[in-house]
Order: sequence, then structure tokens, then C-alpha cells
Amino acid sequence: MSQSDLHRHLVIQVVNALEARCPLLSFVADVQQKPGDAVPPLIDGFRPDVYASKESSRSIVIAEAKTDGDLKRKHTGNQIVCFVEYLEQKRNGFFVLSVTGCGANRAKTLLRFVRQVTHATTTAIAVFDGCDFWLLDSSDGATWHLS
Amino acid sequence: MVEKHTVLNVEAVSFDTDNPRIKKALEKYGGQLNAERIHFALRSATDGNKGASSYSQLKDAILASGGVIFPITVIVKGNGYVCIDGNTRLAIYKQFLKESVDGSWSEIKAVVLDNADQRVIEIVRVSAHLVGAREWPAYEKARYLHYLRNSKFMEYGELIALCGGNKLGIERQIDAYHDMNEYYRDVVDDTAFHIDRFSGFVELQKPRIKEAIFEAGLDLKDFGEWIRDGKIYRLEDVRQLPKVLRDDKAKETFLAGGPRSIETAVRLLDQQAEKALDQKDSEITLETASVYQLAEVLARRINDLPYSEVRALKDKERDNVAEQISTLEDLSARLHGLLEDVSE
Repeated sequence: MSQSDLHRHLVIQVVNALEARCPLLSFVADVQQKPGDAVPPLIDGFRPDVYASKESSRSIVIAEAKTDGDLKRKHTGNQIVCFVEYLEQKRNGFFVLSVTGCGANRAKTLLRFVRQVTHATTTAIAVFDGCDFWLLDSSDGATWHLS
Repeated sequence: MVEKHTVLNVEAVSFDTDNPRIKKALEKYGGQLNAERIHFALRSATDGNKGASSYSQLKDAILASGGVIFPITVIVKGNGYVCIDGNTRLAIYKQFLKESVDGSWSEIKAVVLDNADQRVIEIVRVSAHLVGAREWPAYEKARYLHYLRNSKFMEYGELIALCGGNKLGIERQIDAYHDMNEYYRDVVDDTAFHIDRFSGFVELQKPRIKEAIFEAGLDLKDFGEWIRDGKIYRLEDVRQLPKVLRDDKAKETFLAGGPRSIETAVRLLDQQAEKALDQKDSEITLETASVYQLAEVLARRINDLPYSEVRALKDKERDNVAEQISTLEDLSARLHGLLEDVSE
């Protein structure tokens, strides 16, 4: 699978998983099926792969898909910091990083440091490894639990 | 012990939860372990850099040939069997069966080991995993080597005969595993124990790194904290520790800083070196610079490469991208060759 196909697969897999868990969310994903399809909004110059919201509770979910190679880039860290800082300003923010099973450990390390840098306290931060959602403990910011 | 070649119903064979390839990966599930998660761990258990697609390659190969060529190895447990070699092949059969893929996937070729003692089981696992064709996570591999050496008291000669390599390499893996568990595990909760940080502890075993830490009046517990707190984020930066700790200003920047502070400290040293170089010899050109001067500058330039340039290379945005990538590949091959010649 090429890197772009893999990226697309990671976007679709997290949308499907989120839809199954939160059927009331409305999604916009950056995988246009046809010209004119809506795309997620730009946030501080970065466009997330998935933007979802639920009107009734004003919750916002941002999901970003990263291949194993992308996880090593500094750009990825900067992008995620922006998304988490944006969600921190909202009331019910949820950030999910969708990765391959092989990349899950690296993704968890990265998000732990993102939380340290952003001092995020109200945004829930999770990794989706293709099988499970792993939620970063909001009190210590270091441990992960199955969600 | 008796070996019996047979064909088994795949539903009668369970995965091996002591499989060294996935043992650590399974621990994180605690009491919530199930067959789906074992299957997922097997799919993901490759070295992220080298073998991310090895599961799908194996799956394609089994599908193409209509079955496994080499039988799996099982032991008898209760009314069924446990697979001690061939868990991935078994997982693929179970997946095909579940997805009703065309073919005969309900039965699999197997060797049943009757009355096998623990040592025989370990030998089968060593041959299957340490010498196997499929890459697996470095931490899991080191953990297993540590177990064989310290719990099964296997001699280095025996380990080398079974898995190849040399004593120094195996020792470094075992020491890295020990240091990570001693100086990193102790300071973090188990679910915060990130095995992707392992290669930092392998770097720690290289010459002069530990000495530099001790000479600076620090110890390995500090090292564990630098990794935990992300002061050292890119693990190859462990190699920069001797020069950072030798310089008072860089040392202070590193120790007092937050995540990735070693990168700031290295930049500081680079600026100092550039300044000194400018003063010392403004006549140096690309042609007259030494390989080491060029390497330092090149490493810094690659590290600071703007993302737009990475994307331009990746997406082939310019006509000369193929040529530029080929130049980098040529450099990488020559460097790799040189390092193989001079490394211990």
C-alpha cells in the first residue's frame, strides 16, 4: 500500500470507529469523494483530516491520521499542538491520532509530549491504533487506558 | 519427546500468550485480553522501520499458495493445543475462515510436540522468532534475549549459535533492556512505559555515553528521566550527550529546558562551532572541508529541512526530484558501507 493509500485508510478507519461510538456526531473528512465535497476547516494554517461536531453538546472532535514515517516529523508535532490548543479553547474537545498498530507506541509518546507542551487539561487525547482507542489519563498525563 | 506430523482444526489451536514477539504488547490489555487483540498484536508486531507490511506479505503468500508450506508447531494443553511457532500463520488462517475467503482454511498442517519440556519449547521459540525471517520489535527481542541469558542461563556461545550476531551486539541488547527497566520503568507507571523509547537505551550502551554522564556528576536515573520527560526526544540525540555535557552552557540549556531541550543545546554548540570556524578559517570551501565538517553541517541541514521541501520530494513536485533523491540514496549507501567497515 502506498503512503497516500495508507493515510487514506487511516482516515477512513478512524471515521468508521468514531461513527460507531458516537452516531450523533456529524463528520467532515479530508477525503473528498467528489469535487465540492466539504472539507474540514483550516486551524492555524493546518487542515485536520477529520473534523466532527455535535450541536447539542457543543463537542468537537478532531482526528488526524499519520503513517509511521509521518510520526517522526517535527511538522506532525507542530500540527497536533495547534489542534490541541484549538480544542482547549472549546468546552468539550476530543483529539484522536489514528495510526497503524506498529506506530501506536510512537504516537503515544508524541501525544504525551504534546500534552506537556500545551498544558491541556480539558481536551481528551487519544490514540486509535486500528483496534482500540487508548485515552491519555487527564490527571497524570502519562498513562494510557483502554477507552 | 515425540514429534507427530498431522493436520489440525484451527479452532482447536489457541494462540500462545507467552509468545515473546507479543508478550509486552499483550501486557497492556491486562484483564481485557481477547482473541481479537492477540490477533491484532500479531499483525502489528514488526519492527516499525523494517517490516510494517510483513503480515500482509505473509497473508498474500499463503493465499497465493493455498496454504502454509511449513507446518506450525504446537503443544498439547488441556483438550486443545497451543501454538508455540506459527502464531501469525494461524492468525491468517483464522482471519480467512472468519472472512469466508475462498479456500480450505479450517485445517492447518502442524507438528505436535508430545511431552516437550520447557527447554525444548524455548529452543523452538528461539529458532522461530530470533532467527525467523520476520522482523519484530527490538524491545521484545531484547527482553527475550535477557530472559534466555538470565533466567535460562543460556551461554553466549549458545545464543550466538542459535541467533547469529556477535557477543558485543547481544550484550548491548541485554544491557539496554536491563537499563531501561532499571532506570525508566521505575519512574513511570507501567502503562506509561513506552517501548518505542528502547533504542535510546541501546544508544546508551555505545562507547563514551555512560562515561560522559558520570563525568558530568549525573547518573543513569537522570538519563531515564531525560527520556521520560522528552528532553531527549529523537533517540539518536543520545549520541550528542558527551559533547552537550562537556560544555557548561549547553549542559545548563539541556538540563533546565523542557521537551527536546537537547536539540536546543546542540544548536547552541553548532552556533559556537560555526563562530569559531568563521574566526579560525574563513577559507574553507565545500571542496576543502573535511568529511566530518561536511557531515556536521549536512546533519544539521537535514534536521532543519522545511516540511515544504520534504513534501516537494515526496510528491515529486519538481522535474529534478528523482535525481536529487538518487544523490541522497547514493550518499546513504556510501555512508552505510563506511560505517559497516569501521563500526565495532
